[in-house]
Amino acid sequence: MITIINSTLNLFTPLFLIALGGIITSISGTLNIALEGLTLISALFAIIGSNISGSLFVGVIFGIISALILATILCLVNIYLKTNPFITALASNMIATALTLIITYNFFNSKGILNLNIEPIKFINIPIINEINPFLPISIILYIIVFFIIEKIPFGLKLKACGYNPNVLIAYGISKTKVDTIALLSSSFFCALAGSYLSLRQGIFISQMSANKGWFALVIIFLSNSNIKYLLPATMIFAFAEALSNYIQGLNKIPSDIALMIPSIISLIVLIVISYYNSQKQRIEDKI
Amino acid sequence: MRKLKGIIYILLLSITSLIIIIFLMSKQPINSLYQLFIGPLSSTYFLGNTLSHSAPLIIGSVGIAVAYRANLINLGGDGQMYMGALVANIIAIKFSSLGNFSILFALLTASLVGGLIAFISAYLKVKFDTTELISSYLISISITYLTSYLVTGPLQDPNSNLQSTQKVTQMLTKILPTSALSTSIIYAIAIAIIFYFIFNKTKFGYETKIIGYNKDFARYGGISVSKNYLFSFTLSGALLAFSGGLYIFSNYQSVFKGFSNGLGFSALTVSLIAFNNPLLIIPTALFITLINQGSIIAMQNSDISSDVAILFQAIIFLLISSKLLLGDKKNDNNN
Repeated sequence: MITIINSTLNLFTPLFLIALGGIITSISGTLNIALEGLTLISALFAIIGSNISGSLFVGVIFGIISALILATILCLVNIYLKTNPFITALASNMIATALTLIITYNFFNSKGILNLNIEPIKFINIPIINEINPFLPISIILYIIVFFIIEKIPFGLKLKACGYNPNVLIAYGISKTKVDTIALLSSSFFCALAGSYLSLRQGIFISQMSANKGWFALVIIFLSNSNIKYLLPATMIFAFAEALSNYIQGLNKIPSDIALMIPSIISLIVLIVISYYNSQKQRIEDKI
Repeated sequence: MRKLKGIIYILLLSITSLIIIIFLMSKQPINSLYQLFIGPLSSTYFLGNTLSHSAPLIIGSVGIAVAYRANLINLGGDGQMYMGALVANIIAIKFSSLGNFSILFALLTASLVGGLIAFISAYLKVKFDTTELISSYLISISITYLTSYLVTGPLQDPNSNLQSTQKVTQMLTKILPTSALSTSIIYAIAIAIIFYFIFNKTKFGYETKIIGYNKDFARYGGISVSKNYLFSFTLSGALLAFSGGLYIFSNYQSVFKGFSNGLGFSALTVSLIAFNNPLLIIPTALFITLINQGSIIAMQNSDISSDVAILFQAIIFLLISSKLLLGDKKNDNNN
């Protein structure tokens, strides 16, 4: 039981960080599909950065910069070429997948796996629940900060207005593009932290190591109804599901492919239940 | 006309970036570029294989276009193709005594299963307004794992060392000796032409087009949006599964792990470049297959990774929906 709680908490960290990034864009009214790619690219560059500098902290900085660059490209294309944000976000996921494979193949001569003998991050020992990764307290602190920004600061209000009705922003002379850009760039920052954690936890990069976490994060945001108050419990449910899936995989009783299905099936069920609930609510509101 | 000009700009931009990337990555860029662009055309063997690989892509892209015309994005292509291939494989082995008729039967069963998979997303969209983008993707992930489990577990060929299913014996007729090219390319082109007429000459084609432009207007005009959503998305899944099944009878004979990796996305790229026009899909699919196959040849004979093809598609993807480059004044309603 302790092992499941412990692994839940460690799996919780990246999901929570990605969801935190996703909820910012979600509040501003865009469904950010690029979360997956942003996480993946930063996972690779965190390893490369750590290898070059010998410091994990610099590695994280590298991860953040790489994600910011990808997000900036995405923003520029969206703003100046007037593209469909869904299609470009899918494109950035593809770019991340392809780039990680190309870079590992061309510069490190391995297809998709990068093991540069980097010392993994040190876990903090805590009584009862054993080892906790240092990103967990960081993510909680960031959560409080984001919560404060969204609920208590004028910028949070702008974000919400942008989501509810962008015309309000225009009426107040605030640029919607600016709000959207800030939302996307800050969301890439959180994805980068998650990506760095994923690769630095083990000190290696594996292709597709983001393992659809960006998509699960989208479902988590649905589950929390884009309300930051509910983000923490919503993520807990998913982290628990993933921990359970890993635990079952470890038992060797059922095949690993079947165990790997669990998170996506749970996401799907959650998605269906939430949509059902929302559609019922909508129906009642329509009647009134 | 302006659209065509835009497409040419986008393709030129993408090809230029591809060349730049190769110059950055490769120690022998000229050789890499030669292998990439000329390699697939260099011999009958490679040319036949390229054409052969383009057949499933044509059908898959038509499948994506069916949904995308009604403004629905089918992201479940990978899973639908993978499952379609597996179903076709199983049926073909079970009914191998029926000869060539079993191919048809296997492909139809595969389409049925693929249609059912897509129907789930469409039903959720119509009933509860669940985003089909995410639901189809999540279903695709689950289906991919399930199929991988079946392929490497209960259905794995015990006589083979590879992680693949038993090989089918019946194949489509080969039309270019030494290469894999078979009659599948003819069927693919025929299907594209049929869908061109369905899109332009039938009530279904008209209704989905109107829904794609503006679904509120369509509803106001008395078109049943839900019915068209259900039908077009199911058809989309069926066509993707069909294309996966076709791969079995034209190229692969058996299903292996990672069978459809990224093919769903390739199909999405093709139908976006071709503006969902089945006739334009044919040359576009050929072009994308050329790059895909070229990248594999370049990886074998030079020092670049075959993933440059994915990167190339991604760059096209990044630019293809640009209203500025295409001069498209259509309002996008991303619902």
